[in-house]
Amino acid sequence: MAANQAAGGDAAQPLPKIHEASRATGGSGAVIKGSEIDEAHAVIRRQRGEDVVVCGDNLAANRQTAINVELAVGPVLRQPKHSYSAGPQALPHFQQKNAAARRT
Amino acid sequence: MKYFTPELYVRLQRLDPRVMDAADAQWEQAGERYERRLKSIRSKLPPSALAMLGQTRLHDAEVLWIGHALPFFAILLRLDAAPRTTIGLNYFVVEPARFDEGTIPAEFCGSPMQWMYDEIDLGAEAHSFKHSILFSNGCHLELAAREVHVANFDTVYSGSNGGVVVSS
Repeated sequence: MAANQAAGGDAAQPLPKIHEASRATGGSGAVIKGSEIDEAHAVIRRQRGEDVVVCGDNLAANRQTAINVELAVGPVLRQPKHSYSAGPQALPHFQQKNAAARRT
Repeated sequence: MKYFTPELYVRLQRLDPRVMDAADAQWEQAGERYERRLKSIRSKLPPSALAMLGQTRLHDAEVLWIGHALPFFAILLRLDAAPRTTIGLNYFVVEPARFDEGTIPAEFCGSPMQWMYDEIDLGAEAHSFKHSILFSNGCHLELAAREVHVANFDTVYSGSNGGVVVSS
């Protein structure tokens, strides 16, 4: 719901899209985008410890969607982009506070 | 940590959009300052520190073990991304490590203990460097070392995997 409100403020901006995701090997930090999924499916994926990525032109709406998905699983930690530790193509992400690191 | 401080990390955890935007801007500025600092000291860093900087991406790696037998100090990590390689960092330290707990309030700490952010700078001694690491459980490690060697280990036996030989 919060995602719709965040994106709905600007009628010209399309809603964020959620995709299945996996992480590239080799230290680039890149995320490989898979099939598009809805928010409910994204939450299920996250509960299973699998990754998802939120895409779209409205960064604030993307961020809010990622928060919504991750908070539906449990308490979250926010990790900003960090080229040296995570790789030059790494994205900012949210992950569970009390689990092995998986990210939205 | 001079740039990616625990205080800044805590500010990033507030989920109010305005606070997040402000914290993001501060984080970006910290990154730019660190980038400039690294550029200015790169030629003075020991080759092994430069190699580590260029080769390893340890964000979210799980800490399996930390220990020392001076002058050596070692950290064993398991990378988060597949194939979840086990990485060993072995430092030749020039002074005792500083290990602080509780640099992040408990409400913003995660488990298990993971490598979050690190910074490299010149050490006080000639030909040495300083490596500061902030971990997800709020611990902060600061090492002053002359060399560091990074090894990627293939698992032969893992007690945490039910004691099964998983590779040979």
